[in-house]
Amino acid sequence: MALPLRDGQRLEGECRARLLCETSQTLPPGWSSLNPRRRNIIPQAVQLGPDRSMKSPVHLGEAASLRSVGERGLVIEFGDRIDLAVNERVHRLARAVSSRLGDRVIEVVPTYRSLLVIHDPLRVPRRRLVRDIAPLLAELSTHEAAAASRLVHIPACYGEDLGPDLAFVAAHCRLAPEEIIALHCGATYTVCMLGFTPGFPFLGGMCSRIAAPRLLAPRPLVPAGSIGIAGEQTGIYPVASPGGWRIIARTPLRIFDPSLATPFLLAPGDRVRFAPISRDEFDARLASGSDAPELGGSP
Amino acid sequence: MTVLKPGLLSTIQDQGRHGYLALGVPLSGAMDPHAHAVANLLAGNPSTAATIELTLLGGAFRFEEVAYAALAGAEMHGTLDGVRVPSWSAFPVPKGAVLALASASIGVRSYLAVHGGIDVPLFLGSRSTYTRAAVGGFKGRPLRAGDVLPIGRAPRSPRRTRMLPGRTIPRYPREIRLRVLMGPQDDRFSSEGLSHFLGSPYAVTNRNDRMGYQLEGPAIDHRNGAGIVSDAVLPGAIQVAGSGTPIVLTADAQTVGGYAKIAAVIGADLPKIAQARRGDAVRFARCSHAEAVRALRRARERLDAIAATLGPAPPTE
Repeated sequence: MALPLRDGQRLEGECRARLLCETSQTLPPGWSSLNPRRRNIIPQAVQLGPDRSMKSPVHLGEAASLRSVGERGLVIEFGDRIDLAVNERVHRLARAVSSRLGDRVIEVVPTYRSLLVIHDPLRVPRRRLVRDIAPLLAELSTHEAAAASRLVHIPACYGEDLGPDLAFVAAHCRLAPEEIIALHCGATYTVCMLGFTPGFPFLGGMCSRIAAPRLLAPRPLVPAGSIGIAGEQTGIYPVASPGGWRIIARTPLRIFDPSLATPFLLAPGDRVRFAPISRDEFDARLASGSDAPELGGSP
Repeated sequence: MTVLKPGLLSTIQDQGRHGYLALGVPLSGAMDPHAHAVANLLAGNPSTAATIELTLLGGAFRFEEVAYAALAGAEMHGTLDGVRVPSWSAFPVPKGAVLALASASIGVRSYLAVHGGIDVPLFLGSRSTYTRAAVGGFKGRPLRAGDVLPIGRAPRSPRRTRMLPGRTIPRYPREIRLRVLMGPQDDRFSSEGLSHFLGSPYAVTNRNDRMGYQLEGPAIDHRNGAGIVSDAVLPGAIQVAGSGTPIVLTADAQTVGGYAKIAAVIGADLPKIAQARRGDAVRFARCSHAEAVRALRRARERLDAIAATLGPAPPTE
């Protein structure tokens, strides 16, 4: 495989692979060492169970291209669409870069379709970084090493004041609210990436029958724990913040709690399932915890 | 140290919160890392110490103990118990003295460092305030009147005033040139859009904060719409919304974004935007990766030279 050394140049090569994901109750390999300065801040044994959703092979396809975000950021892009197979490649490369390149990289940031690798160009020149990453890319396509993932169960109370847009989504999709709930709880999602606010999971794998457009004007304040739909994505608001997603439910779990030693519930590549709970159970679970994190007074 | 007047937007910042972008936590940290670093050098602090980032209007602070403080960045006409203390200098502070800072006449952000550092608790390895998630700094928020800030224990108590040599003090001109590395989505823009971006001046608007600076000028047109499948961003990245207006992302930028990014301001030039005021003119100049790295090296060498000039610690008598 030719080594691409310039930004924008495409990495060609045999890039199809079959991947069998096995289950594990620990963090994905490499994730704990993703960013060496970080302590163990993701709970290892919260709401975990075996993930049986990924037993079928996932086809990984497409070539990757290299781009820059400034002199410190190298982007390896696998495509320009939301696609679980593309995202799986991103997470596999993230783990490979973290575990194999060690302190040659400062941080890796997986997203839906690309991996941002941050490095100090005065210590590790861009050319060398690209040379180090190229063989890892090639291995993605030839190795069938199993990737492990956690499965996190999220209790969710649907509809009424906790899910004010459930009726809209049902009307939009021409389904009964109960069907929306069943379809939303029936899928196993992948944490494709986190962002927007700390710990906000962008979940892929939602049934397209319950896809719904964003609000025309975002709400000024969406409560922490709100579960929303935007297009074919679903996600959870970790802190109270402005937001334009259609809110169908709320979880009593704290997705991001800075007061805890392990502030983040979810990590990139985790699998998620929602389980419907009653309003009484929601209130009881919320009361048993402390207050959810709130938005700061930012301008 | 007690906050008597908080100023317009005063937050505790350090070099930023590294290692958590993948979990959606922005870097934060000083908007002008150079001025922040010089303030720490002047105060005799390690580079990891936290300072107070003051924005446009400084405020007033009473020192409850003997201290050694330094100011760097925007000129805010500081006085210590009524006696003038210039920016880019360090000075001993008697117990009970009040440091007052006025409106910035040059630049936007000034950094107040205290020997020993502002000793708020670390959150995920950093003392930087990130107000949107109410974490870091002092209770995750801008300072308010009455806040009492802990100062770290200092190994010695310096006595002598010292100033940064004049030739090493940055000027904050009203027209700035920012070198950029094109991409990651420059191929999403029309050739006319690209020539506007690289050929026209853009004005700093009042829509700017620690997340980003929105500029106005000739529209930068996309080829096929502004939206992309969200990917990772870093401070310095320039995203262009559907209206064609560029936004230079800064320290508190979200970790992922859904607008096409035409280019990124190189690290060595990023402090300039943090000192740009409403109405200032910004010109973007394309540069190579090699040039960006050379500029970064020169910036670090300049800081090293300042450190060498000042010496390892402030004089104690």
